[in-house]
Amino acid sequence: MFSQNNHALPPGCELGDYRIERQISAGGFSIVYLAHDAAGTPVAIKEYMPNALSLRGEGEIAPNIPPEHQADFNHGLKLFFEEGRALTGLDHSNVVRVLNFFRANDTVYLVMRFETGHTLRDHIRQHRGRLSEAFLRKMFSGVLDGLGEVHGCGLLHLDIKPANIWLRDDGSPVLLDFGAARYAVDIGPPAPRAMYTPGYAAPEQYHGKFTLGPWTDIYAVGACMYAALAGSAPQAADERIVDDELLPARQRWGMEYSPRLLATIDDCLRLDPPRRPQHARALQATLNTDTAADKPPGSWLSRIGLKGW
Amino acid sequence: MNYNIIQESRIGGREINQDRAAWLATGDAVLMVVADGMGGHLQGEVAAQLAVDTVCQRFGREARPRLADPARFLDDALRHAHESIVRHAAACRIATHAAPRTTCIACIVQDGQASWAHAGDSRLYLVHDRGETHQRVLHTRDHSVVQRMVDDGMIGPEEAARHPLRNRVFSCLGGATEPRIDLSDPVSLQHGDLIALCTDGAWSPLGDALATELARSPLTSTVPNLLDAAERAAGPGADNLTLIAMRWEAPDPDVPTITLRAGEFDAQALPQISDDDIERAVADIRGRLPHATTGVSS
Repeated sequence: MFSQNNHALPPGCELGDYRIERQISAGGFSIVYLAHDAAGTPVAIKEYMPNALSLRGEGEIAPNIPPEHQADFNHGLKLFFEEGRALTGLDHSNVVRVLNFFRANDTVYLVMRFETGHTLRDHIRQHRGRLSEAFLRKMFSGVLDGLGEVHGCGLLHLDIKPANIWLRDDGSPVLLDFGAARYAVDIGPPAPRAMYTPGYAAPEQYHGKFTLGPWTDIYAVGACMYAALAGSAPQAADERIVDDELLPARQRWGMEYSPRLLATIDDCLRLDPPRRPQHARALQATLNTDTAADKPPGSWLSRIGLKGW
Repeated sequence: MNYNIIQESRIGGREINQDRAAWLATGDAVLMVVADGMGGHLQGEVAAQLAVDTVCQRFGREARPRLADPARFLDDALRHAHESIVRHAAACRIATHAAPRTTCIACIVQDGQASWAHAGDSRLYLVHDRGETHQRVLHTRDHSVVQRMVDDGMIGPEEAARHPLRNRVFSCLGGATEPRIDLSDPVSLQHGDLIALCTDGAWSPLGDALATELARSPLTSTVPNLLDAAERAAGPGADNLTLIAMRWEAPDPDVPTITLRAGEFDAQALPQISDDDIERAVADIRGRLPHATTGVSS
């Protein structure tokens, strides 16, 4: 969002025992690099570098933080620590794995396992939605397995979206970017809106009327599944509260996907939190159930035995 | 009411300036409006002028000295502006596909609250200033093809800034289809809050830095400095740039803090974090790692 971008560390730059190869991505708060450790193993390194609060010129290593921004810079640092703390306690194949965390260059670095693949966002874009039911069930079952573990640690992700779901080359998913994550017990005042993604953020992330909980992430999972069929994000929850124009998945794709999958997506996307599935594991079980009743009714081809369900 | 408004418009690297802007105020209400006439269409500057004129005329008629309903005023005013432009095109016998069009963003401040309405990709920024503690920046969501793609998760904001379709809008005043006009909920202003209305020529080269910089320093010097920066960043072919900024000052700095609508802003004061706190946090996280062997700090 900020165009007053910080310069990334240059390729070849040494960072402790790591050597930067190139920048992978940059957001408003951080830069992610591909690097190699001393043994030559590729890693992803996330550098805390908020654009609005610090400036690093070309060829510079440490950010230049104006004194009046130091307090805000440090506060953002605290959020970055939250992400590190959240992730270091987790060891699950569907959650990004943290390898190291250290301080250098007047900022901090989070080292993560690097895996080849692409984001679900790119996958949806490439296929213009319309991903197969078998793929969706298997992949989201993996996402929910990881999310169940996250919730089990008392943590909420709060920014699940296709861009934050990494698909390995074998199609298995990895939950990324815990920059918005918070411990459920810590949730007092509403989090800053800047951390939300319209379309994927649940209504309770806009309005403080309901408590955030696992159901908040489940709304986002439902929105991701909806996007995987539609090719685009569903209507934003704050707009839905005023004027709900979201066409239920059951109406929109009744002929192409099983009633159970579509009903599950619609249930996840309910505006009223208590009416959504309340637990990631329960939702995962629903996705894993594979019965004859799950075939789509509309296509006679499926009734005469199309394979793949 | 206590406020400061600064307005400036530049031609950039273009032959004509198709941006228009104005502000008007009574003792109880302030109107700010910005319109960006669309380049690919005939008489874009006429459409922008008609939009600003229509909105200003209606404000003059209806704000006596208060508006009965600011939200309704904004919606009506933008729709009337659309109709004026359509009527003008018809009177000049301009074919529909070439008819003059314009974006429009208009804002009313009354009773310490701001409301706004927009069509197209001219923006309103609202910076809630927490002084020592924090800043919160909001801006209107563009009615643009790239914004849709960003919302849909198809592209990131960085990609949007460079995307070949970044100038395409799906709602504007004038033209054959009814504009989509988005109306805000009223937002209570606090001492030091900043509102900026601008065309894409001003926000596009600078991003949110435009608003955060404005909130930081006195408007009289910052507005021209930021437009200079945007013009430099955009290079020789710079688009027209227009910016109106208002800083809201509460009449008495000792009034109790107004609590904003729940869910919108985090008004909590931030605790100070010392260098030792940072060291402790890093050590704590490293302690949780299965085997943190590499790295710089111990």
